[in-house]
Amino acid sequence: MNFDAILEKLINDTVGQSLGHFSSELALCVTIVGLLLVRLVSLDRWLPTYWVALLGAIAAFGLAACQMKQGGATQFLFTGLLVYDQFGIFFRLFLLLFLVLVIALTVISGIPDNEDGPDFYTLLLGATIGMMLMVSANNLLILFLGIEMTSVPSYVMVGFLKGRKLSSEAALKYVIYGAGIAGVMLYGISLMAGMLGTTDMSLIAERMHLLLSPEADGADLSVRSNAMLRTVVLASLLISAGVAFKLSLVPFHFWCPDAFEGAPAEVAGFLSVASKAAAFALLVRFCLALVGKDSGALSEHVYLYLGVGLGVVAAITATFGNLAAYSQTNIKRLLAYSTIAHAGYMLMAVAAMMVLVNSDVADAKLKAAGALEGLIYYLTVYLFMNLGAFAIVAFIRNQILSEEIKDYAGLGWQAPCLGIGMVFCLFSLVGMPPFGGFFAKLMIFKSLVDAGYANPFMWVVLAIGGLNTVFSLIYYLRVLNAMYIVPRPEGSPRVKFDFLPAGAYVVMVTLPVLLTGFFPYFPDRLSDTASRVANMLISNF
Amino acid sequence: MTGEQFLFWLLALTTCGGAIAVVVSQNVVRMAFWLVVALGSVAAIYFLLHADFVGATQLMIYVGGTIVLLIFGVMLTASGPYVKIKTSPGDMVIASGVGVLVLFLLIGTVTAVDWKQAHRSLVGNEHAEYPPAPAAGYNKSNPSSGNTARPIGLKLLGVSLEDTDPTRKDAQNLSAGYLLPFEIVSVHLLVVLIGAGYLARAKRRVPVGADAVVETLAAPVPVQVGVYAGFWRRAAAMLIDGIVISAVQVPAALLMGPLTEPPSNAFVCVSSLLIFLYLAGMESSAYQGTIGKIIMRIAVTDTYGQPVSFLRAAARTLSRYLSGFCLLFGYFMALFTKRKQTLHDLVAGTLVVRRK
Amino acid sequence: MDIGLNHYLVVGAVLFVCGIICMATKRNAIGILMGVELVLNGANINFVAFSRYTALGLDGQIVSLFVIVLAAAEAAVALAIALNFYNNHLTIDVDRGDELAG
Repeated sequence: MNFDAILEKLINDTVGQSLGHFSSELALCVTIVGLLLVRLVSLDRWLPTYWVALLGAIAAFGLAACQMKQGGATQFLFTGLLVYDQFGIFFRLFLLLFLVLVIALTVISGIPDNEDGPDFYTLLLGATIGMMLMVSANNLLILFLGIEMTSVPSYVMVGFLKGRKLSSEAALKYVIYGAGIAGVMLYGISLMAGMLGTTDMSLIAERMHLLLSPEADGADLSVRSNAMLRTVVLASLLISAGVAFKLSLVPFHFWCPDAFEGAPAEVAGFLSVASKAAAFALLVRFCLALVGKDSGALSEHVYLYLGVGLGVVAAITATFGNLAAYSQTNIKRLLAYSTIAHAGYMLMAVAAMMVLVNSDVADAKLKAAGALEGLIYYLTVYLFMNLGAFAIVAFIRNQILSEEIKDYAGLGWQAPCLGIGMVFCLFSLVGMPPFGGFFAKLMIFKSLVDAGYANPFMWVVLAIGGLNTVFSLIYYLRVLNAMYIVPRPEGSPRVKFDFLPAGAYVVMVTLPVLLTGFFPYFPDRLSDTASRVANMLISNF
Repeated sequence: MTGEQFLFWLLALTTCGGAIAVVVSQNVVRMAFWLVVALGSVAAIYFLLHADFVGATQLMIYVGGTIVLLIFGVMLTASGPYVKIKTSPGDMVIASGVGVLVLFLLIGTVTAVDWKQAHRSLVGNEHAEYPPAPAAGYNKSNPSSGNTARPIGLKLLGVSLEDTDPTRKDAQNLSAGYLLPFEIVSVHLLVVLIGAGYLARAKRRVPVGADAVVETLAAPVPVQVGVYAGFWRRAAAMLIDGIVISAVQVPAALLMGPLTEPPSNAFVCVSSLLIFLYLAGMESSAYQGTIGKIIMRIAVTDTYGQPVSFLRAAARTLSRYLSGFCLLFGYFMALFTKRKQTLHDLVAGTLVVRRK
Repeated sequence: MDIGLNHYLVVGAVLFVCGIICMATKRNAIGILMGVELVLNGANINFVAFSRYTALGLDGQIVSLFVIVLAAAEAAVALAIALNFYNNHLTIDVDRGDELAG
């Protein structure tokens, strides 16, 4: 191609194809600039900035919903840096819906006052753009960029209550661990990119095939490919460490309780769902990139080991999270450990997918898609139940100015709406029927059963997951015990909640938890969507 | 030993030595110094690797920016002249032991790879040249000269010069261009700037509009603190000033020559300077305003209600151009800003208030 | 001995490991950040070396440029947070941050 042809092709690719599919991210970028301008001309005196943020988020959500409706085949945007497929659109929609809900929560709970509003929403939107890059990354540079764009605003948001000692301490710990792990991850990316000679994630499997395939002649074949394989595995481990940090998997979980306890409950809720969801999408993409389109790029044992390894991490993470949650006295810390445990459950789905995807079980691809479907379903229910729990914590904090579980005594009777919402959310987090969490867990456990046929070890993981579910009931019940059984101490002021707007918000968020459990229509619709998304992704690989 | 070898060993020594010294130092200021040595040598290594643009960026942004930032951090948080960091010897021994193990693992892994063979398998040619020739866009006649600024610049705009190479595999598709990260990183930097600014600034304790704290401070020309001059009053003052200025300028111009001819550069310069001195001088004088402002009973003050210095008045006058350039939008901002400030008021930190 | 890719990779690995040790042993937040800078530079040396010696080509240099920019942004935020911590606690000794535990 001569230069003019390249230029024409580039303009075509960028303007004609990519920008349209990138419209929801662009809407968020415009909103960020808008927030800046609003403050510059002091419009925020009359127009609270959350309106700007909310409008921008809703516009972005609408654009993503249009993309979802249009569907369309998988394509690569911006000269192959991003991938545009159903999976990415789904997660985009997921993140934007969550963004809208979180902004609404902050409006009601009033954590950024009007003066700090523009800063807070700029950070929130900036982090969301990073997450959206993560879920559609097709290039190791974008992977790193997305993680950085997500993390750096999150550090500030954790320390948003800057006058509080706890908050600044949480932010400092988070930024130090986060920056360190990001560096380690980057080193892994450098090894991977250098070994394979590309940063394109969709070429990883193909390049590995070229390097390691037995046909490549040479006398010292085994020695040579061993060294290359070792390098690639080392690189993958280092990259996974970065993703594991975002997922708060053991042994990279230590930041999570500290950051959540120091951060405002709204921010903790945002990080617990959005950054986990984005990191899971990234993990799935990265794992599938290692597998590649045609199985057999590497001997399938490698993937089996990878899947089993993820299973071990998942089992340890879930167990650790639940055990540590047991002794907590602060509700946000308890929810942080519960978040760690849930990351463990969800990782079980990814492990099952990796075990299944290249196995010789019948309908392996279909079953792998089933595991992915479970993950998507779980994440969606998790969005509502976890956000509900954190929202209730925020509303209660506004009334009693405390986040200690013992101060929740008797609150369930004084604020029935919040109390019942908490019951729904916590029971759903346990995985009790008939709430959404039950079906979500069921789907993941079912795919673990499938995966057990490929490698019986997955049945061990399943057993551990089941035991954990039972065990987790105890500490969730402790919260409810405080809220309903323990009487409110004498002399403490009566707490009064108005139904509008806080109660209405709680109803809005917890209703889906119930709907995805009670009425078959909603789980069916959701699992249809999830399975379509999952099948599209798996069949493309 | 060739020049390249000599340079490499020298730079490797300073880089690794600097890095080890950073680890061993027990004093933050010394650590910062050794970090400068290490990262500066890294920049030189980039030059040695023919990455001239990256090397220059490393020098300017890392050594010039990031490290200065870190040193600022050291200074702002240092309670004594030297900040000692006590690392218990036990920690140090364990960490170094683990570190050395990791180092051997890493080196053992990467140096065991036959990079030549790996490269040949990747390009699918058993006799491919190694190391590969520099990509298109380099100075081919003298590849060791680096010259990467142009291809990197084009790549950041999305164009890869290697696509012009007809022998490339997969010649129909564009190779990766980095327009998207290049643009999106600017959004990221904006967000980071706002976030860091948020953490760094003190929370405004005084509610908006209550700059009246300063009412107790006596002002030489009695101004009504907190009573801001309205848009039309200010427009009228500007009109009067316009008349005053042209009353002097037009006759002067007539003396220089007929009005139909464009004025000489010298005349424009001198009259601009005089207008500037008039505006800035009057506003910083005891009158706190130009003739138009005196007639319209308004005055220029700083945000505390005090008269402004000449420097501040000069800044205000110069930023009037800014207000004018954006289609007079800067002037109209007085209609809707909190304290009826125009753009140049905002820039210079001034207010226009009513006189008593 | 000719200078090749491996030589540069070893330099990168030394920087990486020094950074890790620095992060693990220093008790001062700014000291830890210096360790992070070392780690990032170790990775960047790898990228630029790969760009010279492998099929990665110019992409390696571009990635290293982005890393430099992102590292600067991260350092700015980290310092703002460290200063905020200092204003609240009058120390940046990470071990003094012991109110969050359990």
